[in-house]
Amino acid sequence: MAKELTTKIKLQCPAGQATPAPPVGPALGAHGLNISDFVKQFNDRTRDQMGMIIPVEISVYKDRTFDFILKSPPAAVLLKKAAGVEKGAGEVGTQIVGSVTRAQVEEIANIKMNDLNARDLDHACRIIEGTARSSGITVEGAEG
Amino acid sequence: MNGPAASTGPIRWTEVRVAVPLGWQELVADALALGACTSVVFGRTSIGTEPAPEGTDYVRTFIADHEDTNELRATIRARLDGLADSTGADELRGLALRFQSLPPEDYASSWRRSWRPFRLGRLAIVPPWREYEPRPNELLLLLEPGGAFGSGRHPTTRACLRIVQERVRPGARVLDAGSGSGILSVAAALFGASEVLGFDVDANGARYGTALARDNGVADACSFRTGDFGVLSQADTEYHGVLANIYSDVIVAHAGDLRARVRDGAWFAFSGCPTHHLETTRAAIDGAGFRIDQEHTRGRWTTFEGEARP
Repeated sequence: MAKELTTKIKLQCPAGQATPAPPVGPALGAHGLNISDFVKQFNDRTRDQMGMIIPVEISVYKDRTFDFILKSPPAAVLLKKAAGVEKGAGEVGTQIVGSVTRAQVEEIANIKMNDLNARDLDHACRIIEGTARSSGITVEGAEG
Repeated sequence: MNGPAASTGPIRWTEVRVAVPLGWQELVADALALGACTSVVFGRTSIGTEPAPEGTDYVRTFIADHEDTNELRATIRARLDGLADSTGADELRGLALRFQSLPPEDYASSWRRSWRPFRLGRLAIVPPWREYEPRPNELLLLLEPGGAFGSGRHPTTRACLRIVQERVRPGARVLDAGSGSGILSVAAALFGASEVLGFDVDANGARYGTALARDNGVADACSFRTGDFGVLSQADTEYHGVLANIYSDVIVAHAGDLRARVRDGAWFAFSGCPTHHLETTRAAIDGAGFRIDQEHTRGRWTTFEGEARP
């Protein structure tokens, strides 16, 4: 049945480990949503990705029901995967841990375009490049 | 900030809020993801609270009071201050950061406060944790609200629930196409149906429905299947009534299938028809061999009620 959308809530939670504690509790509780139902469903759906931070978008409807979709992993995670590294730099900007190509940056920018609210692909690429530098990943062919 | 830990009652939390130029929210979330605060939420607290300044969005995380130290706050500030240089993005310089202590609250249960029983004719739909004294002749349907499935409050569900209580006779067999949470099936059983079959393409529907029937003491009368009309067997026929609280394009496509499953004179409630689809849906229902006796409209939704023509 088509329902009237009230709002959308965007969160990031550790896979399989969401709890009613903040930010889930206050974010969903403000709309009267059944928090334990969300926590159970989120953890069930993300259990096989334990250790990852999972972005999730919850649609809240006028009759105070909800559904949610899991979004693409954060850009930093995609960059580390593209660079073939396990972890980013421990301290931002102090250590180089790997590199990606410009084509990989564009590919990630395309994947994350909607999530980033970027103005256009150039803006999205700039954000992905900045995220790469911050994670200790250089972009081949980029200045600096 | 980090006073003596309370021995009882809910934990106090500190909200950490950063106004972030659009596009950079994930990076800031990553910078905030220290051991004490791995989860973040984007945007304002709720509708009605102050929106983020133009061109920015809030990124918020939370620290339990006993972990909220000057050292942690300094680390958060330092990480945010380092972002402009580490990314080369000048707009990340001087990000507005706010720490705010929240009143203690038990978030696992506080969401329940806004849910109260509601009455619909002779039926009262009551959250299981609420005490409720039924009126004479009133039936209770216990339903945990606010979840992924319906709470009974959608206009189309309300219309079907009214038809169920007027049409179901003791011992009736009822088919519920698109049973969702199972609320209509369970209501039909509470009003005396001896055999109700619900089916839904949503894989969670059968599990919800089975639990709901059990919680309301009508598990013996209700069964649920996962799938579309293909899950029905040859034996699933001659029903006394049929419910379909479902998208109207499904009703249009399957009106004939619904008619084939009920006996002559059986009642029906077909719900969920938006205004722009009324003519098409009406024609499909009529063409399949149903007589529409009443149309119940609430907002932009119409529910058709009537009987199967011989």
